[in-house]
Amino acid sequence: MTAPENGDDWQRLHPATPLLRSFQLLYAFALGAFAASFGIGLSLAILLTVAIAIAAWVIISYLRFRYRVTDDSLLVNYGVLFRQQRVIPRSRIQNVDLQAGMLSQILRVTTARIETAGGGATEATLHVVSREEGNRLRTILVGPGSEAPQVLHGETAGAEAAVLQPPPGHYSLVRRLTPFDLGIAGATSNRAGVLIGALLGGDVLFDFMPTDWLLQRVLPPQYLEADAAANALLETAQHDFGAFLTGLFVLTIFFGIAGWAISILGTVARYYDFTLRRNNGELQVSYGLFTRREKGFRRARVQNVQIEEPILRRWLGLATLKVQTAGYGPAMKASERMEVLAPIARRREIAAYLGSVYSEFDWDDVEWRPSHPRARRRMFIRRALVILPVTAALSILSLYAILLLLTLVPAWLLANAHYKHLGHARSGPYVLVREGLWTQRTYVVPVRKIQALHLAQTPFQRRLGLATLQIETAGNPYEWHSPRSIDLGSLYAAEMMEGLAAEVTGTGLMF
Amino acid sequence: MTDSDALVPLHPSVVIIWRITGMITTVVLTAAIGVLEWTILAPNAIAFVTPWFITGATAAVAFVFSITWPGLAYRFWRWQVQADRVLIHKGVLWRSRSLIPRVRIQHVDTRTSPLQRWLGLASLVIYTAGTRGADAEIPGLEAEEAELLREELARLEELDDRA
Repeated sequence: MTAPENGDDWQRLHPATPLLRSFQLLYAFALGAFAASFGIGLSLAILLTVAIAIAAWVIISYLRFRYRVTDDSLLVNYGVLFRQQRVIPRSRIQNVDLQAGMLSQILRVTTARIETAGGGATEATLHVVSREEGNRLRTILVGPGSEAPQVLHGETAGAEAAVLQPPPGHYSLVRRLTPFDLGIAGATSNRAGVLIGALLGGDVLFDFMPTDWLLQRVLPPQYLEADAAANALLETAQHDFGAFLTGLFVLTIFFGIAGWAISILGTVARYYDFTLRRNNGELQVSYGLFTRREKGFRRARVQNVQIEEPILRRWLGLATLKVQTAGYGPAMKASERMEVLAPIARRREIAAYLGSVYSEFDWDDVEWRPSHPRARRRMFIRRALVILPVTAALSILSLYAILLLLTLVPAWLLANAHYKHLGHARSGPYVLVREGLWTQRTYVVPVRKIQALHLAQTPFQRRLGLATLQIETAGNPYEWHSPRSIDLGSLYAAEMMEGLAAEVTGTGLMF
Repeated sequence: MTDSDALVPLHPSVVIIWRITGMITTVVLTAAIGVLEWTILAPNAIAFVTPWFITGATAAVAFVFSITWPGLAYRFWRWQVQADRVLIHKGVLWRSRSLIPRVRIQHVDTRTSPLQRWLGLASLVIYTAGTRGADAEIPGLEAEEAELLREELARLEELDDRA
């Protein structure tokens, strides 16, 4: 361990910690106790006993938990029965995330999560520290001056002089989203469709929507005897088709609006007051109404940026931007490992967002190159391989099924559209790839972040002389494929892989 | 694709290992299907073609597959450690060619299963910060060669001088 004169003294968490933790533990337990329905009296007695045990436990663990920032590490000592001392080298720290639920916001405290490269889970959780302390930790651990040497050989050895006091007022605002922007994000989110489905299903099962009330207004009263709205509607359909259509129309509109409204409200609450700030070395996002999140990460540690355009947003000229930082281990869900750079962005804003991550990158200067034209044929074959067997099988039942062959025409059109969504580009030290017909995904990958390259060929690609180039960076989730350029000519793909490999080697060792 | 021939094949004994593991899978799979047919289909007098046809067919297909496939897989498996990269070419129907720049290698393991120890083989596993380490495993190497390679790949400083 390092000399104490260059760092802080040992520190405790915020005094509100025991209170907050007991609350959370007790809350979970109380739900359990009442759910088990011991009856009020017994439940309260058990609750009281457990509450005392919990209080003792959280106070002891609060007293045992100490942390300290030194020149080169974050030290954490904790544990009640098993005492642990953890040393986290500062050069390995990727992100410091702050997260505050409603109660924490009232108490002006926050949970700080220290994320490092590699490792399955969060390296250290400081639960809870004051908001000021959280900000101070983030500034000294990932802020300016904390930048660790990225390249092992050469010039950087002496440049690690740690700055323990944050320089004042150094963040500049990149973008702040209004509730209106976020409303649009919610309205164009795919989640709206899912929610409509969930509401419909939930209502059929549990009948929690005021569908009966609605139907009373539009259906003739004699059919409303049936217990569920769906049954009333079916009953009507058999006698009065006009009224049935009206009822169906009203219900559709109602569920549509309800699902949409929940999606909009949910998105606005989740990303409320979304703010993106930057300084030389660091990006900082903060958002959320009930649970406020603040995350900071070094720009140099961004592995790739992903621009996501689901078809509805694409038509409206909107996109979502996410960054892949290596800080979250593979044990976390994919959705948690990508950090949102912009929940919603207009197409002309994309360049500015990308510029905030990669200052020397010029989005407007990117010249996209298409995949090999034979990709069209493969995209068609892929669809035909579904259509043909289905048609053949159904033709055994009825010859009219042969008409299904007509779907080969739209399949060909879709194949062409799909082909147009494929592409790759080079721009300075960056490689760009894009794919996806319904949701277009564009990746911007700095060549020096490439960890490995794969050239993959399915049997069909092999016949057509095509290949897919996969570009592996740190932090790519298991359950989702890495950035890739689909259906390049196989020789061209091999050359591209060769060129990228040579460039990666040229950038030297890096961790 | 080109130049696969310039690369090195695995040790031929790896085919034996693959066949044995294939056989074990065959036995387990056949037993599982057999139990299903015995407990669910047979009591209800449901049979496809003849009784025990499903179990028999599963056993036959899995057996033939586990005998023939390793030979094919071996033919298409090629690797090489070059000055600045590690190459791995594999796949019978779905082909893949992986390239790991040596400057990105974080650490290298050797690993031996009981079967591998019996035949004097070892696997070399290469890790990069790209989390899918499983993509860079060379399964059939002579144990000594695997050790040597591990040492060589771990020597980053030399590589650094050259860079």
